[in-house]
Amino acid sequence: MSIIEFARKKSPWVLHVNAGGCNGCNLELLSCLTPRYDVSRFGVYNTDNPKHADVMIVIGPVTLKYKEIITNLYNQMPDPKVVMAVGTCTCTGGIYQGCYGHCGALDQVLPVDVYVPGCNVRPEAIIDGLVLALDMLNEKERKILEDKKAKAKGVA
Amino acid sequence: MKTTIQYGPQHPVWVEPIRLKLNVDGEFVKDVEYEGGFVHRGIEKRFEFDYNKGPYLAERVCGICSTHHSTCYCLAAEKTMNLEVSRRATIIRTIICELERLHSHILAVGLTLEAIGFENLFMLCFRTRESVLDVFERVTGNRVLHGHNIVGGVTRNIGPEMAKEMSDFCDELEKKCHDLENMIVNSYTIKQRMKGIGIMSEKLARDLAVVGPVARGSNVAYDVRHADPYIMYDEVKVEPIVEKDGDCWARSIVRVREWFQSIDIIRQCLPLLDGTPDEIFVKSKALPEGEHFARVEAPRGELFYYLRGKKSKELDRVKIRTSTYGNAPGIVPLVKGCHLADVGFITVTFDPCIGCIDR
Ligand code: SF4
Repeated sequence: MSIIEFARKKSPWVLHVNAGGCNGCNLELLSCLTPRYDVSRFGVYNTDNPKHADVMIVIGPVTLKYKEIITNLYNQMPDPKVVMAVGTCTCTGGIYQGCYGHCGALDQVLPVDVYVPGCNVRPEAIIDGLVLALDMLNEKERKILEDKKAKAKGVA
Repeated sequence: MKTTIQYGPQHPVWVEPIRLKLNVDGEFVKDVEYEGGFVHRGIEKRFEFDYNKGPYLAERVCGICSTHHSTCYCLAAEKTMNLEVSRRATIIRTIICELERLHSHILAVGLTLEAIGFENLFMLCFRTRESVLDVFERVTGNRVLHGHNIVGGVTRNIGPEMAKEMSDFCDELEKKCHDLENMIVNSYTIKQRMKGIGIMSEKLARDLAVVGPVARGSNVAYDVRHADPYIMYDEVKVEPIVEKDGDCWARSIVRVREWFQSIDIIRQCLPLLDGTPDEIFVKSKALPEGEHFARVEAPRGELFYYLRGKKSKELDRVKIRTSTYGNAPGIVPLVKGCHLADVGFITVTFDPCIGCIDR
């Protein structure tokens, strides 16, 4: 375990994006951050700056107007990054399938790593998803390091 | 020197996206442009599907006032079918609505406190709110979206044991709310920060026709529960709560005082439950026909549903006018002329719910 990996495992920073959806899952995510479920005891910190974030939590079927903004946010996040789709409407379009104002699901716009279904999701499910996301984050980190090493060898 | 600042759409103060384009001169905001529609999904179109699935859809317009949405839809739909809902179902609807107002107002006050940097009290508000959600979970099986209303009644009954539990909960919550109130009202810092900021005069409030706590904070005594009683509100006594000043403090204090009003209404409703027959659902014989509207007082103000049926299972049109949609025009004149540091704070005291505004 490298030192970066260790640090990340102890303290992943999340970026909370609402891209449509009702507020049901939003509120559950807020519940996660507050005393009852308190994810901050695992070191999870809700950041406002995409440039500091490791995990992006998206809620809602991405609306047509928000599509551009969300890709923008995604591009600003440093590598490695993980995208989490929280709520049925983010995973598949859910109840909004057939409405005209959205793209359908998050994976039409961004590559999604973790799906957390449920309408509305329970905070326990979000925490489970976060734990899964952390493993993926470390895997990605390892892969990037290996690529770097291979490249360095090739050059030498 | 004039500068243009983009405020939003992704901004830490709001959980949801709106965008304000601010023209600033030094510290002061000279001009504002409001842009919404970031979360417009077009859900009204979806309602033309099956009137029985309507309550389920109506809850997904906004997750904070979900029961009010579905109640309002059900009231309109029942009017088009001439359906008389049983008394027990009506009482249960009232109780759930008031519980929801409690959770929404505690949330709103918490978020306001967070906007001025009072993280600790924000956390305490949310802890109190969790106990309301626990009761929701015991009664309806869900924490946020309840799926409790259907056209013709409600899906789950409240038995005598649950009623007992609820009245215990009322006592407990009242104590917690009194603690919170004491902390807020007696705090010199909060008062200094909130008083005299974002003043909406009574004339402005009447001109813009704002609704809910925003209007009541500006001395406009308008409450649909009082003006046009629906479900149980003609039997239960409700007086609109007003504050005179019209600033951020007044708007927040209206919400704080409404906590106790809601608890009081639940207390009045619980004894009505025993002795009422156990029938909670009436099956309709007719199909929706003609046009009707219904309005309820959602936590954020008056909520309006218009519904037109064509004597078949599908509906012709459903139109929603949400409470925050009525309040949104008030943001612009208040933000004009204020400090840049107050912009986020003033909008948060409006309790914006963008899911509702854009639908
Ligand atoms: S999954 Fe359901 S509860 Fe969550 S945001 Fe979407 S519609 Fe709302």
